[in-house]
Amino acid sequence: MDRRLVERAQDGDEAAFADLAFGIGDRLYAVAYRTLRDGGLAEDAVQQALVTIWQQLPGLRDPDAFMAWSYRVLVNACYAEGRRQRRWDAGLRLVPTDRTLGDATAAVADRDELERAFRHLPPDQRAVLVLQHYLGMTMSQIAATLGIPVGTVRSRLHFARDAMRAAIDAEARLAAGGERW
Amino acid sequence: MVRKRDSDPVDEILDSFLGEGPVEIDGLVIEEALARISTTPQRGAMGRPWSPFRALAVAAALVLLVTGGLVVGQLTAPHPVPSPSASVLPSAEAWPSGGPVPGSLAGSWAGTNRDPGGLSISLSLGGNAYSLASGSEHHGGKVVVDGDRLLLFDGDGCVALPGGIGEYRWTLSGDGMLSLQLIQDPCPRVDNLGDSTWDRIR
Repeated sequence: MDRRLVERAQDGDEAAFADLAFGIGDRLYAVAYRTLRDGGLAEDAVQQALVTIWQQLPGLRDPDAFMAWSYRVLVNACYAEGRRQRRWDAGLRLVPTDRTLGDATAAVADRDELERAFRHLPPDQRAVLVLQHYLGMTMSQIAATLGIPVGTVRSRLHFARDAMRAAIDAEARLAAGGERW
Repeated sequence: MVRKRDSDPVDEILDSFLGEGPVEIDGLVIEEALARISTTPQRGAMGRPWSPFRALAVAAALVLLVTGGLVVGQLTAPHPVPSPSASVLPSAEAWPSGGPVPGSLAGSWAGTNRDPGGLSISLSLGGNAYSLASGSEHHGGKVVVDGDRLLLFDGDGCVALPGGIGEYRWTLSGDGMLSLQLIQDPCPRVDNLGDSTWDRIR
């Protein structure tokens, strides 16, 4: 990210901020979508995050930390969006899977199970999974981005991965049972 | 974007699962956000890096304030008036408008919901300070109350944005329960405070 652009935006230059917004919009949306699992909610979260970033930008001490800080503002916007919409646990209305179908359909069923399990995670656990598995951040990078201790990141990842592992294992057991039939 | 860490199949499945999905936002969404910011003022630069010129200006203002106060004091008071300590003079730039925590809010509160990690959480409010405790974690900062708005700032848990202001609407129910409704907060304390309810401990 261009430091000078950030500094100009910090001084209230709306054109510079527009360049920043278009520069980071896709990245913010990709993270918001993967966290919220809903395109409309993700767009709302990105919009709110951009407005908050604009408002709070003069207080950012290190312009080089702009991207990491923007992710933090976005994650908080995702939390707020999820609370407002109360759709974290709504889940997809999925058609029951027919285990006798071919591999392609079974793969879709596996994905649906993952989707369902992911939607049941609390938002803070979703966020750390997305930062780790989509953005490829290390635990210390996640901690710095979210402003939480590394130990908290570790525990959130632990609980989230356990929940996802349980869903994957359950799916595998069901698939194995289906083959016996 | 996606990286491989080890051979754990769960990690590989999650890499693949979270790698799926759209990666581009509709430009209209950004345009709408930019339309909103054109009518949204930026907040004061509370966390700006130290600048010698700014520091000189602040020092000059303090000298004027203190010496002016002394002169006025000598002219009007029968006894010398102690000059205010610069360390307790709040910076008009750094403090949002509002006053100290009112008596009805002051004290310790227990969150009725546990924090996202499952730990109980407590909130203490008094004067112009707040503190949040959850498990072994403890964060605090400054607070002012402006009508039904609670404004938190200078939070030590808000690393990337030390001056970030959290705004919450507070209400007390008939049975004394405190409710905090999130207006906005760019800091991690929002995890515990956003749309939350609290029982008074003391």
